[in-house]
Amino acid sequence: MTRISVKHYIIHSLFAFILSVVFFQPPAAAKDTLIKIAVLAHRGDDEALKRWHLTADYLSDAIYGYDFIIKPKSLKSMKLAVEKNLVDFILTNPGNYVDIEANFGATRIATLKVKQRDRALTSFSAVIFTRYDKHDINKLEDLRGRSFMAVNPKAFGGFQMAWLELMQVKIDPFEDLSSLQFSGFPQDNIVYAVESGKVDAGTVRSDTLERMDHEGAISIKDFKVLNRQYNDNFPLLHSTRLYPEWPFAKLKQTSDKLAQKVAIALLTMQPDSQAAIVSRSEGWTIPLDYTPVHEAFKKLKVGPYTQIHKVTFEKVIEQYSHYIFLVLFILIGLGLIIVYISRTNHNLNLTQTNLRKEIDSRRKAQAELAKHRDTLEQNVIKRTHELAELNQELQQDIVARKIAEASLKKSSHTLQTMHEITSSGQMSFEAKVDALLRTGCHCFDTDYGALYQIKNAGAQVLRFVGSVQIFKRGQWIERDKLFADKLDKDSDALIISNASADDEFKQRFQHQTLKINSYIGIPVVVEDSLFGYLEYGSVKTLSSPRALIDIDMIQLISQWIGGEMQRQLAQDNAQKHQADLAHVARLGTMGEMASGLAHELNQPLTAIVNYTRGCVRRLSAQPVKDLPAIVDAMEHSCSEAERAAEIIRRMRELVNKEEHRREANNLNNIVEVVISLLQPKIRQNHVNIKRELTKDIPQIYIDRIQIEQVLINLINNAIDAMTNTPLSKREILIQSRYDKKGIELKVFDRGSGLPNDMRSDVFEPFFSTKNEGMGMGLSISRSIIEAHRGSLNAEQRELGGSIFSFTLPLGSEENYD
Amino acid sequence: MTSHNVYVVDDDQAVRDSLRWLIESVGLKVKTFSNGQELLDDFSEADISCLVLDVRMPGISGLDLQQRLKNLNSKVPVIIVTGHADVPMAIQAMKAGAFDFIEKPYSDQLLLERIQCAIEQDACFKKQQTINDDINQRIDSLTPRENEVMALVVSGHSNKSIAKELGVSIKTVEVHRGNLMSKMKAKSLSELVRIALTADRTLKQAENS
Repeated sequence: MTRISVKHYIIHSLFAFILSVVFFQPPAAAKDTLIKIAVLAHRGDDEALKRWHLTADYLSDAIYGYDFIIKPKSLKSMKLAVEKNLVDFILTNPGNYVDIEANFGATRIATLKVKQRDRALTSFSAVIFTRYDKHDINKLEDLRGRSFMAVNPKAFGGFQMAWLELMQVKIDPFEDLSSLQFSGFPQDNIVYAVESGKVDAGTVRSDTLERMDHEGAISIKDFKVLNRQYNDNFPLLHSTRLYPEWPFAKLKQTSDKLAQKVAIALLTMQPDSQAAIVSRSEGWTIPLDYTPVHEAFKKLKVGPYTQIHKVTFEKVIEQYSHYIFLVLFILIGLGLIIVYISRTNHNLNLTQTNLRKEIDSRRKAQAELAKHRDTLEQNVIKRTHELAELNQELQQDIVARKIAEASLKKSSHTLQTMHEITSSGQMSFEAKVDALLRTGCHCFDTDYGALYQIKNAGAQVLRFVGSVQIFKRGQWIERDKLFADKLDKDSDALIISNASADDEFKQRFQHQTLKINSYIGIPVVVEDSLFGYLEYGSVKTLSSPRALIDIDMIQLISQWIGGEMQRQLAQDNAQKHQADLAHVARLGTMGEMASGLAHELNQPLTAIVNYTRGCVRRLSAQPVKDLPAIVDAMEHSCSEAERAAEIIRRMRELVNKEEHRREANNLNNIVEVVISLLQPKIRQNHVNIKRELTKDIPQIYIDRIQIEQVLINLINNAIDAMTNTPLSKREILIQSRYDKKGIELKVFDRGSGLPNDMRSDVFEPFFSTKNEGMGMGLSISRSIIEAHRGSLNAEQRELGGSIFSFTLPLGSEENYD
Repeated sequence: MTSHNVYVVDDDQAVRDSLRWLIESVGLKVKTFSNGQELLDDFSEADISCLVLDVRMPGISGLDLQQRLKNLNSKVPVIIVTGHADVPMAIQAMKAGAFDFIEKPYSDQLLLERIQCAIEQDACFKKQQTINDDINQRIDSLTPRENEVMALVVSGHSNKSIAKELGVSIKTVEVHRGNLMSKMKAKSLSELVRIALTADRTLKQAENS
């Protein structure tokens, strides 16, 4: 019986238990699906509800099975609600969040993108400002002993941010100011107080000044921002570092799965949704790092860190010094970079000016050259004409006929030979000069011919040809021993028929072993100044006077040499500036490169921070263990810093943005210019250049220097790619074509070609297959072509080699700006 | 604590080594991998407490790797680290169940704190997993009849009504009941109910995920 009753009792109690489970389940379940979001109501409950209730509705719609409601809370009641687990999520200012995070283990899941008039910002800051005409207040330090106004001692943006900055310059706002007043909300009062001179300076949350200016309440020009900071992502006036905006955070007991759903829903909230609009935001973004707020509180010893300073004051100081060290380190680094960049900027400007000058002189030289060539041609025509006339005269002069005929024949032959020599495509300049000297010897019946270049107080023998060795090539001759010393740039030919009859000339020959008795010399003029002399001499005495034709002939030779010298000089200059040209083009791509480089810099910087922080943690432990490992880590940290420096070094080579003028140009002409620029390299590498240029190609509006740079790059690469190609096969084909849309230019080579997987990589910055290459060429080229609204492509050539091509659109000038 | 392993996958050796140095400074064990495949080849759920992944890696990207681990039914908390975060990337990571998403450059404090949290979550999860596995094992050992009896017992039926329901004698029900109590290692009826409820929750969780 007892057993039964015990059993009964058990069953009854079980029933009761089950019942209780069954009956209490539904309300418990309903409670689970009601999700409470505590929102900081800093402007009253109604305002908070109005601003956020659509966000709650949005979450209820987005997440199936849950109802979200807003619970407006003050700072105090928020803490209480969190402590008693009465809410699931919080939506509050960064200061309060950090407090709750530290005390109750909340985790941020999204950060608000606050809409400020026309932009959305995920961080905010504070402005410390004074009136524009306070000439004795220019930096934070000047605020010592002045009156100052802020919102509220507990306001993060309205006071504490500025407090931290003042602390950095060793000003304690509670002690070192003549007065510190708190205006309370709205912050506009502070701006008016500064404007009227009631206080010397004040601080407000970022955007307050801009908003009031926008509303017409004040003019922003009447104020001066102290300790102004600049940040690309934060266009507002600000004086303090940036802090992240309001976070949406989950509490410790809230399930991760739900938190994840909420995070996704928030991140996908559209900026134009009603929920976003009434919350005066553009939705939400990836949760930011709230450590700066922690750090600020720690330093100010407010918020969750209020008691810290009493207990571990020294520790805080210790930590503080590390931080300062780190900040200083970074600031110095940044300063150095800025100095570097501005210095390079300056240099570049100089280089550019020089470059422009050089290009001008190059053009001038080319023009003159053309003129000289014309003269030469005209002279040839004139001379031939004269010869014909002379011929007639000679025919009439029977006595002089034979001599004259011989001389004429000789001259005409000489002229023909000269023409062949000068127009030869195979001979080098030196070979041509030698050949002309030889022809001269024959024509003037002399034993030697020489070309001198004037240097200092004498001259150097550049070329020497002859049957008698008077001078050696390269020999230096003193001024007073020069035969042609009397000649200046405007002189006519100097002719000596019999040296023994000329005292001064005789004297000049005294040091010679060979006696020169007849002589003809003429100045060589390059770029309108005396370059040197051309002379012919003979041991024989001249039997009859020099014919006029001889003088003309030697003049012709000297003019040709002068002209050719000038052309070479211009070419050398052009080559020298090819390097500068490349540099100039790099400037334009700085902008595009900067973001890629910033990302590259992030890697070593992350590593440095990790190493340094790891060291700081180990060194702050007592006792410090494993010192060798710490030294090792510092070494690693250093080499990462060097890696970062290397990246910056590469960045320096790009430097600042420079717009060139776009003008109508013929692409075929550019091809020719570039080929002539690269001629030495082409020759040196035995490359054959083949052109398939469409003749009537339309003009296009381009930046000539930049497009030249691209072509230089492509042809340079093509030549480099063929280093391992047999000499007989080294050929570059340059093709230009056009259709309605634009012009296409292709460069074909017979090099090693492009493997499939490399084709997209070649355009990446710092990609190079060459040992000494920087890997910038194609990347820059592509930026240039894209800036011209064209495209640069690479493909594999069917029978080996590669094809690089670019297209440029046709169109008017306006289309390019 | 020393048994907690943090796995780091990053293709940049300097970042990888420096992360090891940083994470080891708080007494955690770190294992590093230069790419996702290396991790997958050497993957054992039991050994990992937290995984730190870089998004931008050649081969398998951080997000791909996270998805692959999810397909392998892995529950290890994953912290995604990236140099250039954007919202779609964050959403993708969260949808795949990332524990957190941190943008470079991060503060050491934030990263270490999140790693600690991930480890706690993992430990808690693994503990629960062991309990669940154990209970499921016990339930699996029941005969179909014992299962039926347990369902009725737990929902509050008396032996008598169970006998009536199943069409067997009370004696038989008592035998089944005694057997299942010992198989389920339940000392009392309330303990049996608790165990049964835990098992039920696990089943539901399995369905949900």
